Amino acid sequence: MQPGTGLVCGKSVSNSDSEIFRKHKDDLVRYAAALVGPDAADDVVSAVVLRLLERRSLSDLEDARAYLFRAVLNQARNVGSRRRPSFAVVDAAQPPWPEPQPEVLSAVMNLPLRQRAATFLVYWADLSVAETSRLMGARPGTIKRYLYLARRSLKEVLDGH
Amino acid sequence: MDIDRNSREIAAFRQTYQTVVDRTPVARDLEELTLTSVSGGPNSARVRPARRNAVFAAVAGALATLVVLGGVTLMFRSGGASPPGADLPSVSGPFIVLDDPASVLGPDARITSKESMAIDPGASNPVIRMQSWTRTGENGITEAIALLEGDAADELIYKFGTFSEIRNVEYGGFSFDLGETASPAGPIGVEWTDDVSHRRYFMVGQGFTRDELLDFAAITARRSWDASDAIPDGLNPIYEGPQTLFPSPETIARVLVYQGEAGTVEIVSYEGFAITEPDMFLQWGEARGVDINDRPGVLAMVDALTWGVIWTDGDDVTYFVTSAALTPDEVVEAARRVRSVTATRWEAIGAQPSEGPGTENQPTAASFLPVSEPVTVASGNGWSVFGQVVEKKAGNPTAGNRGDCAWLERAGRSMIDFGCGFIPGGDVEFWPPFATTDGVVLIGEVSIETVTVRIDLENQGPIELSPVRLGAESSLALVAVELPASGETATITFYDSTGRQIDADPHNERLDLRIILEPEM
Repeated sequence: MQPGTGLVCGKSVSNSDSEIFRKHKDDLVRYAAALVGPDAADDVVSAVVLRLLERRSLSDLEDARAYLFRAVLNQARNVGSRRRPSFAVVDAAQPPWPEPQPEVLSAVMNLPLRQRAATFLVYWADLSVAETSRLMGARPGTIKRYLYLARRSLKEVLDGH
Repeated sequence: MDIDRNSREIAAFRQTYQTVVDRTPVARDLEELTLTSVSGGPNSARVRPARRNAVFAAVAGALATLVVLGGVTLMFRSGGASPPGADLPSVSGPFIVLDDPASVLGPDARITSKESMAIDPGASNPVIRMQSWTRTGENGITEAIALLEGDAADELIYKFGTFSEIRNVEYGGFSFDLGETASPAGPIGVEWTDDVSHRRYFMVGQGFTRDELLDFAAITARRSWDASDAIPDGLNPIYEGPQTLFPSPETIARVLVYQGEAGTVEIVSYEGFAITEPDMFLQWGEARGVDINDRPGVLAMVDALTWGVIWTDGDDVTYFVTSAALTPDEVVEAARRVRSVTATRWEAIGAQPSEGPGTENQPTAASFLPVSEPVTVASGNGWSVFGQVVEKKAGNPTAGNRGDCAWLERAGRSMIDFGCGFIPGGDVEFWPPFATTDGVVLIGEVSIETVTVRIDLENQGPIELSPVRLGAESSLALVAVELPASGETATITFYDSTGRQIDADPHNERLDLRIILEPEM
């Protein structure tokens, strides 16, 4: 098999698909990690892209980045409907900065999925509300609402400390 | 953008997500993803051997229990990095009781064990259940099969060592990961996840053929739904089980049907159909009307990969069917088949859906009290849209809150319940357009500050509407209009009493509603 190609259900994967995916893969996996936890993030992205490639090429998409982000969110919803993100990472290295309080981490990762998605994209990835709106397929007002609700939830936790 | 990025909460978000990102594995290239999927099919990404081995190696020091059966070593993860006593996933509900194991295992098969086991000796919760059966094979050799059940919240069960090949197989309408050894006489294993309950199953047999094992796995997979703990609170199961629906006779959709106080039926399934809450119907701006067994329905994107259909049947039961696996046309076709499934089951259990709420031309939610008389918002050829101010009944967490409900009637009978809104301070929502014989009805809910709603049709110019306030008790008003079903795009804007364009949604920087009108009636 030539470098840059693969097979999905017997169909070849083009170099352009590889290039598109390579461009977004890190963002997608990090996004998925915020939604389902680090353990399952890679699986979520894998499931999305493999399923997508069964039907069409990434290069056929008008906005592949937005499409993939929405697909990851959808997949995360399927995966996460009855479980919370797992952080049971084996042999995880200690991060160079202080760990968040367990209560805070728990509060963030137990937020409704869309609130978590919005807060990750805006507060961590530093995307604008408009860009987040595009990636999540929701109106800007809805994104703001998600952010507000998420901040309010977290404020209650922080006030309790 | 008016967002304070320096707040304490935002700092906490950033710190938390930084921690998450730091623990996230490096993303793989597409070539690696696709190569690992070649042998196993589209569902095999999460069971690829490389990761399995890596995870095994990582938790090897934390293994607590080994079960050896017929030469296969099953290894259970003990909880690994979880602190002692942490809330390990437990298995709730009864053991799966198979209807007729002898049909697969043979008449002399007997169950030889049925037990729950704690995977971590220090944990109090049993997290794995195991059943095993044996039979006497040729030459008097005992042949055994074991079924293990755990919660898939964490990857709980790992096969180790014995299987030379693990690949994805479709069998009996289910997707299994099949493990085989190089030796024909070796053990065979199948693993699957019930995506309704998210429970994981692993079955291993010694002395059984591949088809026997898969047959047994298939009847177990079907039966597992009865033990599912996925039933939402407050809903009564009307139907649970597999149905051969779409797209091929071999495909068994996973269907769960529930009925709640408001008469709502939900259907949850895997790789076929999933019915879920209407607020997931996010992309309805691209909606188009469809015919679901002579009932008007709406097809729209739920998100990038998922299309959904919502409709109400003749018994005022609302259905919402979505699927990430099917094309829009296939989703519509699937929706058309759901009705016959539920009708058959209702007859079987003697339920009377026609007696449910919604048949008295009133708001269909039994938890609301009417505050005002119903108001006619708009009428057309054979249809009328009504609205009514309601109040949430005592016992509701937000009892006393007022909102308004809207519904559409045909020939004096409530046909479509648009639900009830309780949005304080004004908001705007437009429901997906509903198909009529002449076009589509567009219904929206706006704040009372909105005095004019202007709908610009792509090819036919503007239509101006005055929202109808339902009563002094409500801060909301409704607007409804029948529009030609020409595949046009309708752009909606809002104006106050001075003629100034306003944003009817205080959360929105700019309101820009575009609805494509493409009914298929």
